[in-house]
Amino acid sequence: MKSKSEKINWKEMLTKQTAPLILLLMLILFSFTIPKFFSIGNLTNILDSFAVYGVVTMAMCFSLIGGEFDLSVGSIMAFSSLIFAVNVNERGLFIGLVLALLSGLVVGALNGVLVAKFGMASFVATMSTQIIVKGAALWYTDAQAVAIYSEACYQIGNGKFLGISYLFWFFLLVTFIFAFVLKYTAFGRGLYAVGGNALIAANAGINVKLYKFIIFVILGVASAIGGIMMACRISAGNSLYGADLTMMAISASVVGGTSNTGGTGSAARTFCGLCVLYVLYNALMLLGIQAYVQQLLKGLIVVFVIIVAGISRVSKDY
Amino acid sequence: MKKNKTSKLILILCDYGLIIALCLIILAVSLTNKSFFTLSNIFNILRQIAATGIMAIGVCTVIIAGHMDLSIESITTMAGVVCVTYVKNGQDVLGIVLALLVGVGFGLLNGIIITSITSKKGRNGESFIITYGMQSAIAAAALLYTGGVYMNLKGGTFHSSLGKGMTPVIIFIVIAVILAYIMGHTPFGRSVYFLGGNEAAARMSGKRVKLHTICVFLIAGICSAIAGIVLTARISAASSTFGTGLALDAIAGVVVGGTPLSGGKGSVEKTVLGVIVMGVLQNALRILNIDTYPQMMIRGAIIILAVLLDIFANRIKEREAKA
Repeated sequence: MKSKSEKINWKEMLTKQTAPLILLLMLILFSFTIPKFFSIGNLTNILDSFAVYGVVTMAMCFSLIGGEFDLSVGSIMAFSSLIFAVNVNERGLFIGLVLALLSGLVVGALNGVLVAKFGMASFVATMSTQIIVKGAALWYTDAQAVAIYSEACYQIGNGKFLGISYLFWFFLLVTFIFAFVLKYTAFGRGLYAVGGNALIAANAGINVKLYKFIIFVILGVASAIGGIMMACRISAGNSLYGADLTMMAISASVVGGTSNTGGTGSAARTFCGLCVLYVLYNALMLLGIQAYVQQLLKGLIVVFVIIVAGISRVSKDY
Repeated sequence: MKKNKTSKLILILCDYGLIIALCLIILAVSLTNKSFFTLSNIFNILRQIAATGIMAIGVCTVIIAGHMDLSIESITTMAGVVCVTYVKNGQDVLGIVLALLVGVGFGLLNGIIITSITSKKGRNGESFIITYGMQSAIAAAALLYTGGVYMNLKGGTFHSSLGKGMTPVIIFIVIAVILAYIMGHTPFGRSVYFLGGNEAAARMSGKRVKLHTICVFLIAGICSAIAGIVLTARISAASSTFGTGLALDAIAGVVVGGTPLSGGKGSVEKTVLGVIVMGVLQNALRILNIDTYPQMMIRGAIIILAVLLDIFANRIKEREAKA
């Protein structure tokens, strides 16, 4: 028995670990074809660039596993960055942090109540809160960006440890926490059950509504943390932050092999998904390809990955 | 007994709530502002909702079939910019035909992709994410096509024949009547409702599920292209961003009109009413001098309220059916 399990099942590995394999191939390919790609400066640059969106992507992966998604993350990020910026300037770092996190918590809880308690489709609920929160963010400072005058914030956003930004270390910590919760806690295992088949999960005694509520609260708080990180990195709050966040978060999760239909996925593979996307964008940038073409490719990648995943699922059903 | 009364009230609100809300808005605003309830302002509102309305009735058929199409706004944009480049050179008819072909092409593409990856066990929101990806891909294609330039038309027959006066509104009404007939009175329409209500049952009873799903996306694509042409003609300009946000406006109209996203219910007529209510509301807020940003918040809150009302009404109906 033991010898059989030691044998590597190549076919299974290929289908299951697509993202890491693509990442490896891309790293090798780009290192040989693009001169400046494989340098420590560029590689750390790639890591730093996705720390902010990465935190929200982890939460989005969490929610996709539970069979829900959230369109309002970008608006929450913008709103909380503004609340953080204004309050840091007026009342100090600590109060700014608390209020920004609270704003994310409140919107997340609102989404959670609408979906879990009233049974609204997550698409309508989060689409509406997206408009509401975006309106609130624009109204709050009259669509103006707010500069942050705080040395501490600048240090948080731009300081480095071992050549990699604090923000990325924080993102790594978040990834480990999500990975741990998903793999080793009853809550994580329950989440897979809820996303796989909510009815069966409910019959097995899992409080599905509570799970859905918690999913949205986590998303709200993670988006607020993302907003704070973004504000620290750029030293300003802005209502334009997070415009493509929902798209990025969903595509990175899906590229990493999280099913958009719930029940599968993991934090580590989502991390790989993020790496794949950002390495690709970095390569496109180094090659000097037009921004419009980059955007086109971003959309096409998502469609392509979902088609591949969908076709393999359909062929399994027959 | 008292509980019965409140539940009856909610049911009445749900059935006639929109018309009541519409009357209340009109009454309240026309009492406070004289320029609201005038013929010219009513025309103005109708002209403004025409393009969104055409998109809304298109996406309404997709939603009735139990799917979702978020790419409609990018199709509108693409159709608009394609149309404008040809109209600029005096090739009006060619521009319109090519714009419609854009709609047909992307509609078919959406439909084919979605039907090929929806498994027999039922759909799980693939259409949402696929069309979300398509939205950003097509938007980028439009950006690439125009190079980000805002393209103006200087008058011309295109604007005067399609964009002036009530022409956009008439186009909207004609399309609404055609689609309302198709959805309400033809075998195709009935099977789309069946398909949205229970796809597995529709498949087992011999309905051609794939073909009907593709048709529904095709309708949404064509409607979006027409909306793009109408919008271009009305403002006599097009840019790679002029459709941004229209998908949410259109879907908001569908949802406020009382067509649930779960599929199998709702109608084109309801959607037209929903779009009118949202249009009147937006105009009223503007006339009352409320800032753009609080306006956004109010619109979001109204979508939530409309959906909540629908959910409560359904719960009451279910309870009564059990009793």
